[in-house]
Amino acid sequence: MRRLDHSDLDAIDASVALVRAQHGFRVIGLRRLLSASLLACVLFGVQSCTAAGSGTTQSNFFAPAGLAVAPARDRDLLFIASTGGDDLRAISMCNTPSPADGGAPVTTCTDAEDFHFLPGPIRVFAGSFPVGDRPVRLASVNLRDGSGAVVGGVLVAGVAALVDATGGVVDGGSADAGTVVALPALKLVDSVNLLDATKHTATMKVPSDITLDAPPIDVVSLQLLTGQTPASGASQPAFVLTQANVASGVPAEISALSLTPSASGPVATVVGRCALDILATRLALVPGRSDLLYVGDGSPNAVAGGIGDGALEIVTAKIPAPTSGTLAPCVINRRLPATDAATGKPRGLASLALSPAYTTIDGRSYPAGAQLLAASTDGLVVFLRTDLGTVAPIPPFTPLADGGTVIGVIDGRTAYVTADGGVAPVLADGGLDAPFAGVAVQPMEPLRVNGLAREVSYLQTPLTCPAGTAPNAPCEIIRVGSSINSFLSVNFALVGLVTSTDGSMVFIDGDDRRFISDTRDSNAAAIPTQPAVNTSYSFSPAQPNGQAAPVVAFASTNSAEINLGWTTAGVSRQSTWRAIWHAQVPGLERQGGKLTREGTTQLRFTMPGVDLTRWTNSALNDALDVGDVLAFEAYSLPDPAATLCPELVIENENPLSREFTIAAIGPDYFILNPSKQGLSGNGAPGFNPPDSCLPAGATVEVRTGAGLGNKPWLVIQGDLIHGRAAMNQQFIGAETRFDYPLQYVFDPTNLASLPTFSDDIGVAFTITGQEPVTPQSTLTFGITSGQSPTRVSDTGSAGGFAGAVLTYTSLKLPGNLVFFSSTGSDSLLQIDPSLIGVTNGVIAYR
Amino acid sequence: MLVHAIERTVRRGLVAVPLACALLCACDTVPTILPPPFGPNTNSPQAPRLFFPTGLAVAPSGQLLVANANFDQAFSAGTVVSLDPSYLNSFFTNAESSSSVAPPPVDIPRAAFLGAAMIGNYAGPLTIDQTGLRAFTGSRDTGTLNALTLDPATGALSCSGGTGSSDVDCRSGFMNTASRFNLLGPYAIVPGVSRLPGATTDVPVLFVSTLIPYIDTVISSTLYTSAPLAALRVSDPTQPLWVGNASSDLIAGGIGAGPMIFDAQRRKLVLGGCYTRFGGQNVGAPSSGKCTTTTSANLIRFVGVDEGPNPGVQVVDIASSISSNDTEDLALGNNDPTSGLAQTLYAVTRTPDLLVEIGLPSDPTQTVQVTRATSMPIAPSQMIRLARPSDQPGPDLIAVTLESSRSVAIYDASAGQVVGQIENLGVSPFAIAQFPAHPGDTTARLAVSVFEECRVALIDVNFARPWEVRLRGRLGSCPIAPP
Repeated sequence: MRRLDHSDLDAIDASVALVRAQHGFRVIGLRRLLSASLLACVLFGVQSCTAAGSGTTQSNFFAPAGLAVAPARDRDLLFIASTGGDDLRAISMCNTPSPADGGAPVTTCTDAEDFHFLPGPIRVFAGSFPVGDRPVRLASVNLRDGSGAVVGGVLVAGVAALVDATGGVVDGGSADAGTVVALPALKLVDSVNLLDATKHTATMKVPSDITLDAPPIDVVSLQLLTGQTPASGASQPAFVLTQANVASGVPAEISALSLTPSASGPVATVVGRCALDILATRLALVPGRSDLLYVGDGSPNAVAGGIGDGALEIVTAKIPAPTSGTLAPCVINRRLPATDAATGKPRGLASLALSPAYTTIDGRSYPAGAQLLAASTDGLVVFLRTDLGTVAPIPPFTPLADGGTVIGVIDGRTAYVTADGGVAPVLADGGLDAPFAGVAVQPMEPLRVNGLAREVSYLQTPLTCPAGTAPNAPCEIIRVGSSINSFLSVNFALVGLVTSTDGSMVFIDGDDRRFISDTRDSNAAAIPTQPAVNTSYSFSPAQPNGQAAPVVAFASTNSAEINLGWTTAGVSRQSTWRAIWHAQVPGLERQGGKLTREGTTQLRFTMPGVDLTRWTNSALNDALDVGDVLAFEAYSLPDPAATLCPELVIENENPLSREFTIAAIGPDYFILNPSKQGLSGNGAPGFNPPDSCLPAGATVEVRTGAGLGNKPWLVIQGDLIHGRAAMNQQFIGAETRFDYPLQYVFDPTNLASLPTFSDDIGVAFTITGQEPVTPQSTLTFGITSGQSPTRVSDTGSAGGFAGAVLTYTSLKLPGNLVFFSSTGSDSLLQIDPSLIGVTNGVIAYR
Repeated sequence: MLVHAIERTVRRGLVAVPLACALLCACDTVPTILPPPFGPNTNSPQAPRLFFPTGLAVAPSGQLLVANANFDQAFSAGTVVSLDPSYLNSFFTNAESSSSVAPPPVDIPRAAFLGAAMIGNYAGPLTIDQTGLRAFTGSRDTGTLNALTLDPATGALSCSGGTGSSDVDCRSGFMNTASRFNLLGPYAIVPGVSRLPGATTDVPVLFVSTLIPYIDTVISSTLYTSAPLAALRVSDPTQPLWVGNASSDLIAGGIGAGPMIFDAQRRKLVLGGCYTRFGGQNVGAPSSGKCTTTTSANLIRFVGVDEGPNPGVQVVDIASSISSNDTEDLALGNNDPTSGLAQTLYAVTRTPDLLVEIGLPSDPTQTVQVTRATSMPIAPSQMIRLARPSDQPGPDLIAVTLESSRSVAIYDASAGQVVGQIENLGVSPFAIAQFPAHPGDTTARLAVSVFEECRVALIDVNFARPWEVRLRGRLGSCPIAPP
């Protein structure tokens, strides 16, 4: 076999250009693609290249983002938008099931095409289908014409393209040579035509445009329920959101589209349009419904319960017909605020998904849209209950610990939490009994993924459950576990999916509103894993003269705190904690300034441009105080020609060795008492620079000392500063909750077991024993969280940043397949949630 | 015009060059081939042009200065040229160029070059100091800092510290930072202020950081490096106010920095990027390069400017949130009206290609952390926060050059999205600079250096509708077009 050389590549590139010109679609530069593939094999080894066995390493994605599945004759096409390029890729997924007799399915979709990319002109490479620059969001079009034939397509939002002076599109490709602007139009790609074009039975059509007033940033279409087939000849709705510019008064717009089948493919017509005076972020529909449209609100200058908080609900039937001139405002049905329950601050939403209908293992049924899962603009995972229109309450309760029942409450979980946090038993007829008097539960805090949450979705309701599944039992199966011996397939009623900036996707138990866990859920019989402190703390350096190290006493357990150190499941993170004696004050680790005499004996140290009120009024509330200390690193004179006095020259030989106590704090200066430590240059105790040495320049380090009621210890978790601690006083390190991993017990007469904001304790401890004498002596201990959320990421590639997530089912694949775009690693991940940890359970397309 | 005068001067000054070249060649020495408009034939120099332009800067007097990096070493020097503001402005005001027809690439007429001077090779970012009369750029191959004096009235350039206004051969550099400060690869140059401990007034300075770390010592084949940082007095840049370390073996692993910006309110420099020295080589000095193969961290460094030669350095690793190990450029967001402090630090990263927003809390005890990350088109490089005229207030708009996409993306921070993208600037757009924004302007006018096309592209961005980005001009071309 001969190696390809440059002349070969040139020839191939030339042939590609010719083919592209002839067929209207293309393969991406082969030279780049070949080198990328070779590099991938080198970098990722055999395993990644094995994935290419299903046609996966020639995809050559450029920052894949939006995903959508659309039908094309006897298959479905998974479209992937390359935000870094100007094209879509498409993967064929045969959807005709095998007949019951075990024979071959009647379809033209062959095994060789199944889960392979639609090919380019040179058929070993994935086809690239230009739609315009930077396609971002996709939505499927799934129609049937009057004869029942498939009419499919994909709507593309976010593209930019070459436009003429009137705004008309001149060209959509990257090889154009003109002025390109973001396109105020939505693109519609005919999936059937695209399939036919790759089979050389049709000429590929240029995507059609749906003209808008501003660039579209999101598009959604009706999500058909699993197994549902569109009615012949019927139209379906879709909705488009355009970019707002709050500063310049350009409103966001919602456009309602009617998608209709025709002999020449799908046709989109704008049938409604209205304006929103918010910075809208995303759209979402309830699965199987199009009557309610949810709009994420990411407006700046947000107000709790008002603009910029949560999502808006719009009755789509009230979207007015498009008119010329000023648009009518959208009629807002209601706002679903996502106000942070602990802080009362508003929270914008950046990605939304509505739950499918589901039934729990104990028989509770919820309609589609009961729950709204969202990624907030600050990267957290938020649950809203649409019946309340507010943040969901803390996760459901188990029966009483002693197995008893609450009057009127069959199993505890049928208690209904009202909008004001009250709890009402559900009666046998489905009605509500009177709420328990004086009983209220808090709204739940957001879940937090590693990194920032980006996109959310739900697994669809499976078409069929595996054999042996009990009737009406949930069967969204996730294979959890951390090792070959612990893997377990677990049924969940509702599963949420969240992608993160760290490149991963996590699974969420939607009914319990918590992360699915590799440890807890793989061992259902065990007590959920609790966090733990590592009591083998360390202390360094050793103190002079053999002085004993201080002691860390972790808070003892009691009736309310069941863990040593009062660690809290879902709050205490896997982390290292440090307590540093006479630590550098954050932000004042090193400061230059001027040292002058204050009065007769004190010193004044002034720092240019430093506003010390930022420390004395910090949110930490205990950052700096009189009684803290300064250590001088170096004395100097700003005039290089001047000579430093000999006393300060001697001091410079032992930098940072002497501490001066802060007697007063000014806006930009400290008043210091003379140091009492050590001996001065002339042998006298302590040190106070003689007047002859002043003024002088100096560089100092500000340290914690006896300020704030003698709290010399600075407590830090990882890089997060928690506050100051005193000797022999308990320090409670609060953390933000990231999960609700336990089964919480609801007893209306004793709510102590329910998680509350005030109980978000990471660790509690007391430092006792002898106080150190060496500055920056450090106590260090570790905490294990006990939590292990089930997550998937592209481990075969550098870079992260996961994007859109989509679930897919068909008659052929009745279970769920999950796809998510790993934008940062230029890959698409395919996950069979029931086969996580199994070979080919997770496949990366690169 | 002035360029003709330059050429005449060069001709007179280099009348003996052919003979000298012949002698040098006879001695087996690489001949000196001066770049246009000084050579290659010094008796008949080529017209001025751009060749591998990198740094850009707009002078207060309006000229656009462009550093030509001489990346392919076709010549014995790079150049800095100044372009006529009225010539450039004609592209923004020309009604024809607002039509749909893309402005074809045009050669820059000789008359539009108001000045030119030779500098070293591999020029990086170009910075104009606080006087508005001097431009600086580093040559990282020789460790020299180039400095040019601009005549604001004529646009003529000459060597700062040279023999006069006719001295345009600045190849030897203004200062060798390598030999003076161990600052081996001067790259980012940022104007700011500093105050030595004990001083009562701020001193205007230019901060110069290094791309290439200095090897302090080698122990058991392990390199211990540091990255010096110099604060040069604007009043006399040959005299540093101080020289300290932005990293060492104890702080940030002794890495060199790429981008650097100055937070005047917090009085901190912010450095990003990671460059290292690679040990284990048998021959020659250890090479240098990006750390991307040696680290999974992405460190942002905050360096104090008032501590003299012992600056405090705080290090924040943003990799845990975004799985990126390479920051290409940094920019500060607008100042918060309440605190007067910038609340957001923007960073563009590679692997993945992102624009990252990093929250800068006004409370110094709170943690600096990533607050938002947005996917960018392929290979973001340099960026600029668009300065708005006083009558066009609004959220931060960030323009980002995209090397592999031949384009510029516009990011609207209020929406957290890329809202516009302009293509076909040419191969490898790199630096970006904004012409001054005046009240009444509805658009931001930008210049972009297009490295591989020997070109400057001009674009404008509508402040109110930032997705309306227009390519106004493509000025200059290479003698041999890039592939």
